Amino acid sequence: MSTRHSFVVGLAFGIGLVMAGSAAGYHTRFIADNCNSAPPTPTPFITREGSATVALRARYEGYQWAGGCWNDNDRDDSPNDPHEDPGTGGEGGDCSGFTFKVWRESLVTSDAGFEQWGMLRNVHGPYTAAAFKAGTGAPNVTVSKASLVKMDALASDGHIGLIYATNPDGTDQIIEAKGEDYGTNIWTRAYRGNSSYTGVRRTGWSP
Amino acid sequence: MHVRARGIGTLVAIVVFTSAGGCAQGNSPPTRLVDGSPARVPTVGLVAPKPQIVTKAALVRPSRAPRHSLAGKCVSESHHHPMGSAVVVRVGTTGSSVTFRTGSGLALVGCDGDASGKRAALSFCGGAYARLERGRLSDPRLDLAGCTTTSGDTVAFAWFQPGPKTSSVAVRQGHYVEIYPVVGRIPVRISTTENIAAQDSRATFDVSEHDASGALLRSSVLEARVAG
Repeated sequence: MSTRHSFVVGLAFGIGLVMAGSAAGYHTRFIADNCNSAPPTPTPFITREGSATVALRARYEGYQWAGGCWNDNDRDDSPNDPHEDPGTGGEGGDCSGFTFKVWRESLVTSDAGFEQWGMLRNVHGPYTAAAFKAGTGAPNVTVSKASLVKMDALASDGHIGLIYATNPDGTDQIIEAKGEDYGTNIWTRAYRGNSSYTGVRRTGWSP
Repeated sequence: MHVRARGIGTLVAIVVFTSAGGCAQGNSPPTRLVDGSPARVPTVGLVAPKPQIVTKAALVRPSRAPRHSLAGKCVSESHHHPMGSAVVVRVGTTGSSVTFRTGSGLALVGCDGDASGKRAALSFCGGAYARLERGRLSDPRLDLAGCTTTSGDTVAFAWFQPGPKTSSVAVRQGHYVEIYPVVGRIPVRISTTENIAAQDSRATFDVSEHDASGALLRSSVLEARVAG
């Protein structure tokens, strides 16, 4: 084997090792060290302000694909997770897991009651963004976008975010688990004017 | 996506376990698919546990899909996604599905139907959307929120990415094996009522891939979680 050939083979091997390490080896211990499987506490009612308070505890925390466990220290404890990998053990919900917990929903899709999940309870729930968009499950209904109010949602086939406030120009301040690169926060969004988004409401709010 | 490869030894163990379970429980495979049509055995038997039932699979041009067909209904409901040139329609023992690549080729769209043939023909109980990276799925897009059998059991749907030489995908369904012909070289939407962990929002699919002669190419376990 020539020196040049050996160099090329060695370089390719090295690059392969680095790529394999970054793609398959990434894992944090956030869930293992912090999260639990405690049962939810049934609650008799839910208010929009109370739900907003629950959502704000997740603000500045991380994002985890298929995740649903976070603390309240205002930083992502497992940054730079690989995208769309449910096994990386990181902090945060994904968009639908975040919505499920904030809306205090049940794992049983035919149950429209209210379940209070602890922040550190690692639970995602049965709904994807597409399922929320379709109004799947007893607690969820689709509504006109014009009728949406605080803590209602806008959902597409691939994403869902909750309305925190509406801006004078018709855009909304959306609190959402946005992605691995962004975590969970409030951003100004024009989902309401985007035809791929549908209005979704959790039923049963108390005033 | 978490797919664990399995050895032949494990496959043999599953054959024994499945056979024993079937005898002990007196289970017989379904005689009908969810649209009410007769369940059929594959023309080429696969090197996989028996009994085997083959799903119906068809490649349909969107423009030629009757409006009230599964394909037509999914095309209509997914109008906001620019559509590719063909959709794959599947009808199986636990569910039906329609899958297509978007026109850009960068995403996959699916409509999931459940166990009542009449209801499945009218509307879908679920759906999925997935981005493709270099033509491959990064997540199987598990859907278990809205679809049930006529007896109320949850039906879970997920996409499975077959290998380039795979002609059929076989999924263990407890006391029988469901065969999904690979059509259109796009991921196969598989469904099951087995191994669903609702408390953890996940489902596990026991899968094997076979070539055109029915020979086993590989076995794997697809562990899918609700996400995104």
